[in-house]
Amino acid sequence: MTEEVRQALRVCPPQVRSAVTEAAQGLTPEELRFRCGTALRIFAGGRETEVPRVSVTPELLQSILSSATEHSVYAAQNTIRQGFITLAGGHRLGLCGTAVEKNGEIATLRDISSINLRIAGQHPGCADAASDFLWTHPRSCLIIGAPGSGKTTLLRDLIRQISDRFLWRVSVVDERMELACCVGGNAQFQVGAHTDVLSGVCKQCGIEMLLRTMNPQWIALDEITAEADVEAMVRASYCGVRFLATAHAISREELQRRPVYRKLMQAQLFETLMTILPNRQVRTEVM
Amino acid sequence: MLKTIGAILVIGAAGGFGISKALQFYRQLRQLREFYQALELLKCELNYTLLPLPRICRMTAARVKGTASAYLLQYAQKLEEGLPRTKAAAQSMEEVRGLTLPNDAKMALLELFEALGRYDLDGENRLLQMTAHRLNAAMERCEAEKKPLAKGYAVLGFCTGLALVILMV
Repeated sequence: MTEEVRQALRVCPPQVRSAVTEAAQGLTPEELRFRCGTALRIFAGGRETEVPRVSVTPELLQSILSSATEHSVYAAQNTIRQGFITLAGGHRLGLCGTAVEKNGEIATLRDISSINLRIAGQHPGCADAASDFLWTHPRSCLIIGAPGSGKTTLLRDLIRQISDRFLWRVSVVDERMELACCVGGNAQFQVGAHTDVLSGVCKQCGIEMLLRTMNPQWIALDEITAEADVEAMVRASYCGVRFLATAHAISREELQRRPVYRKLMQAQLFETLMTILPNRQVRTEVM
Repeated sequence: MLKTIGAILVIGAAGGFGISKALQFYRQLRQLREFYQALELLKCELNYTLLPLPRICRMTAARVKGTASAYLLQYAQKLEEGLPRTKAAAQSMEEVRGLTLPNDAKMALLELFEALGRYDLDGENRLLQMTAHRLNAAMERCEAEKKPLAKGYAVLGFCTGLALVILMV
């Protein structure tokens, strides 16, 4: 069992930890699936393995939630609203339950029914080829791929490499605290010695703040999803800053079908497109 | 001579007991003030930093004195050990030495620390405010009772000692 898995399991009660440790021998768990009323399942190597010793109850889910928030729902309220909690080490709890609405917005989730504990891992070197390409073509780069294909992992290693190898000043807008996962000011993942991280702020505000304060050569951000993000990126690009970003799409065609990304393409902000293929190979093309 | 010494000792012991009971009222009031101050600081830290409860409790403990500080440290430690809030609150209350709060204030604090961290910021603020009101009421009551009761206990102690001496002589 890897150190990352052990660290992620700290939010679980001791009996769950020992059951998972026993059941996961020979596996490299990527996710732990807690679905109320069923047995715990470990997702590894593309398939789910049942852990019959652990049956998931509402009390177990509540205990994991309480432990993950360090008994402080208020501290994680903003992310609980969005259905996740980021843990120390960059791991993430995905939540499903019943939404409680207040003034037309989701205030919180009650009656938690499922928890997906996603185990984060750093894969140093996975962006070797991608960073070599950026050295010869230092232009804004967009990484696309299917959910779970490793876009964030690739982006993280790319940030580390361009920061450490090429000594470029990189600023990261870590809205969901997945890229660097700063705890107490320390990045839990290696993101390079020339990297500044702004955590927990929306991408639009983050880009503007970093531009004003950190004088970045590159700005990195994960998961472009809103038009406001695109607008802020276009504005910042006029200042000569370059972007490293990810987007949810499996191909260039799909990217062009989505209105938000279409705008991005029309702005011609990105000149390099990296596509993570189903076999985890990265295809790089100049747009 | 021996009788005189004995009489002084009896009066001194009974009087000392009375005075220690009287001092308890002053101690209660001091502890109530410490907890009240801790709640105010807790509220500020919570609203400003949004840090998890154990860390906020430790930060607050460093800035207040006496039993309130000891309680917050104990509570934070128990939460970090993985104890549920209800157990952490109750056990800390039992384990902190020298805690002599009136029952209503103790109840208010227990209810607060059993629920703190369960709600959003708005809920937490209301909870803290409600407990601060309850502590304030307890402080006002203690303040009003302090002088007459403390005086009463001290006088009662001396009088009991005196009565014992008269009976024995």
